Amino acid sequence: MVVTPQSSMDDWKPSPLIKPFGARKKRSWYLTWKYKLTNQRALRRFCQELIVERTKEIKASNGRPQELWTGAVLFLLVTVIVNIKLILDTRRAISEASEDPEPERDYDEALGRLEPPRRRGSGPRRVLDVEVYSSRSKVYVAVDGTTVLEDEAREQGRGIHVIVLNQATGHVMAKRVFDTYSPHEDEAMVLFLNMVAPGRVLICTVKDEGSFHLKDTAKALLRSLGSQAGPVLGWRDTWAFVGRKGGPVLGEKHSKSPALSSWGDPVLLKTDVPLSSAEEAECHWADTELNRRRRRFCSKVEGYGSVCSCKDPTPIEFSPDPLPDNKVLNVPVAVIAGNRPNYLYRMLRSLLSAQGVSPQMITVFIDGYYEEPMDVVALFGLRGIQHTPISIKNARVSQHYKASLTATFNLFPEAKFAVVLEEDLDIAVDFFSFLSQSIHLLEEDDSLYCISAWNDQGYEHTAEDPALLYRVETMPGLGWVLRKSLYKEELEPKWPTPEKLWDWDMWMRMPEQRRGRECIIPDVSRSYHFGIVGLNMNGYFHEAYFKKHKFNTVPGVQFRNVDSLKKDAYEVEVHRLLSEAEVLDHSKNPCEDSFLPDTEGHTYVAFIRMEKDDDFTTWTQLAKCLHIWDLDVRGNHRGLWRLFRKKNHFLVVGVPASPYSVKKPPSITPIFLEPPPKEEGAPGAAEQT
Amino acid sequence: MSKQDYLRIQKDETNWGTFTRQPREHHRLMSRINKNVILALLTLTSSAFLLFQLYYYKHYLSAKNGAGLSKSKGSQIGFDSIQWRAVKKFIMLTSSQNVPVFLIDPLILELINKNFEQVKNTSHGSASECKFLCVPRDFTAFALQYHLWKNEEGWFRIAENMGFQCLKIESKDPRLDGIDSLSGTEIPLHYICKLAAHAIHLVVFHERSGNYLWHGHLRLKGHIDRKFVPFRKLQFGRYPGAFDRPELQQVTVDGLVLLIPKDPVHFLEEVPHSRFIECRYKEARAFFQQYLDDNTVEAVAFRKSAKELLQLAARTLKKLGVRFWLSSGTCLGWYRQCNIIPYSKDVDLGIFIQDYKSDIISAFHDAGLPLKHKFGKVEDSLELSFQGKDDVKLDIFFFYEETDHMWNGGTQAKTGKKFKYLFPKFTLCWTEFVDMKLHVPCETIEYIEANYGKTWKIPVKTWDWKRSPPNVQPNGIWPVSEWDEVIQLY
Repeated sequence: MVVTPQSSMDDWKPSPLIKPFGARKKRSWYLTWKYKLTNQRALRRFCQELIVERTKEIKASNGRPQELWTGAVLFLLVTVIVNIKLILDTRRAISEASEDPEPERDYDEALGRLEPPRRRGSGPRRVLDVEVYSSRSKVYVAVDGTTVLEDEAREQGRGIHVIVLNQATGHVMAKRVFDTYSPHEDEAMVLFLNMVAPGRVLICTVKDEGSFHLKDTAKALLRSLGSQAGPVLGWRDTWAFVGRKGGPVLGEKHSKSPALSSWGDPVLLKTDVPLSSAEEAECHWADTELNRRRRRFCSKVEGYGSVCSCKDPTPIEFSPDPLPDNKVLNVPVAVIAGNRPNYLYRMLRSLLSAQGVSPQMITVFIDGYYEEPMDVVALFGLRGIQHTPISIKNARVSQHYKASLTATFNLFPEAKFAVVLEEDLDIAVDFFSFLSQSIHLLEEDDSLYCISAWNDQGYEHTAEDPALLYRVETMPGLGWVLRKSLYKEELEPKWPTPEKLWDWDMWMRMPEQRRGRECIIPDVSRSYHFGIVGLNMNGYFHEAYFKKHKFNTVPGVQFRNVDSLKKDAYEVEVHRLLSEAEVLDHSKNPCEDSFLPDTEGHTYVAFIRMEKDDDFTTWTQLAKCLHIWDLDVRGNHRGLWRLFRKKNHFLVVGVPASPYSVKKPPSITPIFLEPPPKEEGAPGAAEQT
Repeated sequence: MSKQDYLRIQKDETNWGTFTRQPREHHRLMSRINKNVILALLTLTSSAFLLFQLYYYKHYLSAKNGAGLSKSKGSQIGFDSIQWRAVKKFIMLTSSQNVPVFLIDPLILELINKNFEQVKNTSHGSASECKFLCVPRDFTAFALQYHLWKNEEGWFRIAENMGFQCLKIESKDPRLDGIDSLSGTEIPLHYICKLAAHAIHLVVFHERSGNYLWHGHLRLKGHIDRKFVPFRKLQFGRYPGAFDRPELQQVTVDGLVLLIPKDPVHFLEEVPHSRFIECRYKEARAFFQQYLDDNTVEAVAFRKSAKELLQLAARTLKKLGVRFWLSSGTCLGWYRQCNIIPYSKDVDLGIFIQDYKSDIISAFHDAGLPLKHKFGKVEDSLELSFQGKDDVKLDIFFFYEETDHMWNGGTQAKTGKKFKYLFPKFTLCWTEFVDMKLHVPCETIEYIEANYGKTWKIPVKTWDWKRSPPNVQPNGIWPVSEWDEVIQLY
């Protein structure tokens, strides 16, 4: 880089310039570039000439053009200084540059760790080797040597296991099992397979038995996937299948069961799955923030239907109408979730579609480090918080609730209330409207414990009036509002500790906690419990107690006379109702449909026997024959139950325990229903999850 | 010239330094060339290179660190200043994206405050001279209340499309730290958006329990370019900070409509004392694993009353404008277990004697806390004790400052004996305790070890305030004639 022409050694000390050249290896890019520019050779020759000339000159010199000389020397000096400056600067730049690469490399390494090398060779051969095993007692699927499914547990996992792989990365996007030995499961499978995007790699394998309730529609679908054996799958056959959705079959093995009492031989299918390019695996949605979220989601998981449709994806932003004068706009919403991402997806869709929702107030609390629920949360652009599970079973749920509620009030320190939801609820379109109209009650009436969107007794045949509210002594949960002061001052300090295997909701219903306070509920529920898989939940239980629950779908309902729900006003209201109610014919069987006349819009009252405050013998039998919640007592207010029958308001008063017994005409004998003999009694105190 | 030398030259062609020793073999060959021509050529080439180098050097400098060069520029050319333009663009960006930012830059707030009459009188666009935003500086600091920000997502991209180079500093949410095993989405703490040589520092304020705003520590993670901006010159982010939630007002400054705190003086006073320390939640959890928390009805009840007493005391002192901090057992409870020690029986506060106000006693009386006893006098060993509800006592110790330490006094009512409790010097930091923003000594560990010794981690239920503390010293005895004044029991 010496651009300074040096004069001879006679009158120039070795320049300080020379030194930096020892460190030539450190030369930065632009020095190199400069070298090229300066056309070294020509310059050098020129310099050589100069030097020679100068030497000659000095020899001959007897001080001829001295002024010129001084000028030139000065000029050269300046050049030298500038050069030195430049070199120093360059060196600094070099040393600065060399400081940074270290952390950068660390970062790259960290990134590398995040993406496990799934793809074999990661080089030109973009192929996955897939192993699929099907047998009576065990199934497994391995992708490039990594086991992605292994099920050899006894008495579970029966049916067709389905795995969806991303065709570009080989990542597992969905994993399901359909117990097609049992009815209706094949319908779920058809639903699921139809949702999977074209091009994805589908893997199917049968454990134990998968054909008994595999109906024609499902078989036709398997045929359309190109399967030979699927459509003719027989009793206790084993079957392994790998294929591309809408594309070629990549491998299939099938072994017929020789006899009714035995199974087909275990089959092991080994096949290569060529990976396609990332572009092929993705849709070409417009490049918006929303679609970026969608793309991230759709490249990771499958089974969410049209949200990942290339042509016509379902919206992930809903912008429902805002609520005029929304009193709950700044109330935080805590969604309590576990590992049921499909439920969470459905739940969040309905929540974000409800009028008056404010998405930035929503936090989803996931119990465990599950990825897919987090992906769902991220799809909707919401805040998600994961919780390391503490304790087991009910206590785990309980600890999760506590952490979530504490976190909610920490994150929103100004909030006086919090809305608590669960991942298996549909939220009514007027959920926030309902809360906005009723939340002031919680502020003004100390005798209230909560506001809940759920009426335990609000079934299709027992709920009628979307504008009607009740006060009840039980805490229904399933979409409710918690007062911060109640939580912070009473509940949080004595919340059941992890070693106590208590249900949080049962604990909250205990008299020590509730202390005589009541909850406000609507006649027609503003939430719908759709979950059929859960800690305390199964399909039968759901069908019996939750499926026929009434759920409001009408927007903008104005509740009637909300202030009459306050403590004293409500008593006046109840007395008025009882006074105008027609007393039913107590000689009839209350379980018979004819117990209530075929009228509409009337108010009827019946009196049942209730010796003490906790005597619910007759009520439980009545609830059973009315096909409403009978597993424990719900929905009562001082020995009074309010529901609808045949579009008439139907009041039930427990005599003599209820203070409303005074309304009983002397001639009426309260109804008494015999409890069934003990051994076939109702299943224990099961409850909602 | 030796043969070796020659060889070396041959080999190392690019070693220009050696040319000074170029042999004179060519001497005769070149003798014909006019030396004046050579001299001229030499000068010409030199100057050409010199020019080139100067040009390159300047280019290199401005690309690397334009701030240095632009400083002088800004103050001279008013509205063309790089600072003003960056602020203008940033305001355009935030108002179009509904990002509710407000100005917190101490330098500019100070200027605005000094010329407030003038700022109030200038309407939009009528400014003739750029007086505030063109002041030479590296950063302009803005703040944002995170919970008011509705559309965080697209903002970053739009900023980058507008020419800003942005850096986002994220961290885990300290509000989840107190809760077992929660891990959430990271929250943004700082944005630094650079436009040419000026950078906007956007401090993200988060709401905390205790009605205050919190901002985080600007910690550069491994992959962040440390030369992105001169981070050391940032006004915010060196430590986490706590601020009162400011009310805002709209002003027009240098032709730009900005939001600034309604009380800029108060905000400016807060800035140097805003340092915040988080409770040591992890250590507190470890403590409770070892010693188990007391969740008996009595413990829950005591904590509730102590919390209420502390809240009442804090409200009262705040109204008087008296600074105070958690002292003794209350401070230990905060530091060791992030909670009130259930068997401590009282609430302890410290106040610097220079902050003493004579109406403290009457103010507490009006708040429903009658004086229980008063020991010492303002000049020496003052200590006040107030009776709270449910038999919980509020003790206020006044601290006296010496050249190399602080101390507070104690008095034994029966004997008139005086005691002195010595502490190393300390400053005050904010923290959050039982849903309040409160002061604690920043040098907490030194403070606590002075008071409780190295074994402060081990709970002790019997504590003699005259003997147990390692920092207690006998300090003589009050003269009997003064007893009426310095020992007052009610």
